[in-house]
Amino acid sequence: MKRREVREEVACFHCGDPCESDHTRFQEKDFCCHGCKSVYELLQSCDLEGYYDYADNPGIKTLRAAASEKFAYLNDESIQEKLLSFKSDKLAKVSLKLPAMHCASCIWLIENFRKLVPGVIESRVNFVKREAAFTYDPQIVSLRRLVEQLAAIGYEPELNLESTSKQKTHRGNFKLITQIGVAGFCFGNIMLLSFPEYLAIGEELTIQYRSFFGYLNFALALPVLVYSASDYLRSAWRAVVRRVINMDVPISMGILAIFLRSTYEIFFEGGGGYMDSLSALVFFLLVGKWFQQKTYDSLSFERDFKSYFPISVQLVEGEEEKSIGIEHIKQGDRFRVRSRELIPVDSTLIEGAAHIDYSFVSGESDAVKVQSGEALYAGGRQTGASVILEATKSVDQSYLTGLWNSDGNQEEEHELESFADRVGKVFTYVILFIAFSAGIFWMVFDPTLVLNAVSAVLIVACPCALALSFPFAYGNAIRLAGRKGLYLKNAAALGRMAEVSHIVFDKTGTLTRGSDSKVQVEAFDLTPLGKAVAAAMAAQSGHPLSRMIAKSMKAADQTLPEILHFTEVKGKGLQAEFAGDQYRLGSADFVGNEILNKKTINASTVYFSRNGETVASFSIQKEYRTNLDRLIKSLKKFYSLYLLSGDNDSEKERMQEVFDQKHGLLFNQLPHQKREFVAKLRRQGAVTAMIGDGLNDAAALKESDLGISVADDIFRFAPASDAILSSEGFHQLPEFFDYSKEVLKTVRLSFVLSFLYNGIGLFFAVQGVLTPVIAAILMPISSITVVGFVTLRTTLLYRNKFSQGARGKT
Amino acid sequence: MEALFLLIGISLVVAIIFLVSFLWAVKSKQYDDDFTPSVRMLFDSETKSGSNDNTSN
Repeated sequence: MKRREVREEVACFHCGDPCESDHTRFQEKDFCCHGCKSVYELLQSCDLEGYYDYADNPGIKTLRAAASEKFAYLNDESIQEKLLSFKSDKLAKVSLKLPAMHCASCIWLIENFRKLVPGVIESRVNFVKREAAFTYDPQIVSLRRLVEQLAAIGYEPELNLESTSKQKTHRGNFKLITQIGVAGFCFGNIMLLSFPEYLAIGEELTIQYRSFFGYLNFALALPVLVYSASDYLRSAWRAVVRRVINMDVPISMGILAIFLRSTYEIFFEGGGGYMDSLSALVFFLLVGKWFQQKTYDSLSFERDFKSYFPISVQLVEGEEEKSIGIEHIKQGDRFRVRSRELIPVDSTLIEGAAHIDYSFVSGESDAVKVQSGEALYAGGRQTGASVILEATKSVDQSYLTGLWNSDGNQEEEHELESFADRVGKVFTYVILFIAFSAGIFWMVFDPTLVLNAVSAVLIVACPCALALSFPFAYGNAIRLAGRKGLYLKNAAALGRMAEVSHIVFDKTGTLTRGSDSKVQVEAFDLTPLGKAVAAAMAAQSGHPLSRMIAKSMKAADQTLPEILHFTEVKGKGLQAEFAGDQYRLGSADFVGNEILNKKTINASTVYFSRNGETVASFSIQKEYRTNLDRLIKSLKKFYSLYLLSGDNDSEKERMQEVFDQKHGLLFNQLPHQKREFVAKLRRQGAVTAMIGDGLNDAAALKESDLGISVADDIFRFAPASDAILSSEGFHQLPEFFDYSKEVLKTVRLSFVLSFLYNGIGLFFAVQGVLTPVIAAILMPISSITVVGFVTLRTTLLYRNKFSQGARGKT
Repeated sequence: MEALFLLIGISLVVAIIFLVSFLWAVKSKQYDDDFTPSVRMLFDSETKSGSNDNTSN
């Protein structure tokens, strides 16, 4: 038989994944699995083949058919009330988050959903927010069926407590845009009305019209001051009241100075005032703010523990079962937790075989076998069949949520003085000093000019350059960083990133890729029967290595042989009997072969013997992200690095090698221990960044100065952190840190620029000869050049750093 | 030149009308999602509903 050297890569028509050699073929198309083929059939039967026209392989692989009862709780009236935005007899509206949407085809399919599910009247997608609004007839189709069908085609909605308990109306953006609109409107009109003033047209008629235009300017400037500038004024007031000076103080000072002086000139001296500069200033400031906000609207960072927990559980009362919201679980309630579901509250095991995956809590993905009567903790995930638990605490009192809540108040104390605020402070003092000295000077030489000079100084000292370089530099930088996989929450986060001195890493999920491990089989004399027996033995044990072996050895529909006399010798291995043969699975000496007892670095080996003869070995490797060594080495040059892992210390040697240090690598860390470690570093004065991935890091992430959470799917999973790093971007961590420092440098350079402008302006101001024309020219120009400079530089830096960098994949 | 007062007054009124329209447009949530409409535009209209676009004969 001729062996084919080149294996043709066939891609699944639906999802694009490579197909195995024994894949499904249907209607001349290849599919990688039954799931993809079924979705294709379904779409075809409803005349929705257009789905495949708008993007290549747009389908999403449905990992496994959801348990039929998974969405049963959606039949519950009280739950529906929380989810639906409108309900009447014939009409219901619901808005669902569909994180799986990723392309134009998805939009097309969801908006044509009514063709798939009769009863759905209309569906409208908001792609930016990954949401879809459905209108349907509840008499024809139920909410449960709607959601089930969405899940069936791969777009399972994300339903959690957060989406039900808080209907956050996103009014923030609307207000800002209105403020911009008003400021822009007034800005343009005031400038038009100021033209005669600039150009000194028609001197004879000036007096009459001057006051008219002046009053108009005043009237137009009022909304700018009162409405558009209100946020700045309020923030400055709050800061001053607390005896703090932030960036908004000099801005507000300038705004008020302009307004008051102009008002005085308009009403008492018949002048034109500087209202054009005022509205221009406010307008540019607001545009800067809007630009910043636009960048992180698509990702919502505000999630707390409620986002992860299910909405409801099956309460078991005697023979009956019904769904209740998890906030209603009381101590003593018995409820059912199915396979792959999260345990919502601390409880004890009543019935069933519990194998709990605590990766959420401890980072250790190896399932823990729990005996009847033993305790289970909230956040664990059941990997076996369904079990019945009895609650010992309510949701709010469980260990994990307690951890979250206790940190909720930390946010207030974290008002770190950012770099911007520090500059604002210095700026304010300097300007006040100059104004004061100018006042004194003129008091001596020409008292009539005192007020003129002092107010002119306050007007022209434009913190606008300062106020603009930040939002534009950081806004641009954040946007660009997002393109490469680092999504920062706000400018302050990027600013702090530049100041970081110590970095703490989590291990599982952060340095390792997910929690999968590869099992390498070295077979000496392994028959298919032997393989099956090994799988059967491994399946019986709760030991992490056994579970991995069982997972990789067992084919999907295989029935395992019934082995006899199964015993587990703790710390050594398993033994069992089948068809008269004695099998052992475990460490080398347990299995009976001392020669092979060598543990290779970053792999653990399990041996399998039949009747004392070693027939195979299984090597299990933890998969670390590619180029981890390079990454750690380059970071180590500038930062102190630490490792905190919730996992056991089997990887200690490997980690010591990677980090090239023996200290600061801690294992078996519980969530609160991680937080304590970060707190200790911060107390010593270090600016600490924490990089983690799971709920177990959440407390430490919040505690750190900069919390970065690593996620494989940025839309699904984000504890409250300052930044999200996608898997693809992980290997560029050193570049990101570098970039943050460069951005800060850019801002500092822009200050130099702005000082130049300020210098020129002050030159006129202190002499008392600052005319509205000069102010009107100087301020916009300084703003525009500063904005242009920072935007250009951050973009060029980005291109430089990230295009020629190693494009390795994690 | 008294006409100037009137003219300026009128132009301001017109400008305010535009401002109000702008505010209405933002309030009507047209700007909430600026990506999806651009994609939605490219979808084929259904043949069943009998699209009434101009068909050249």
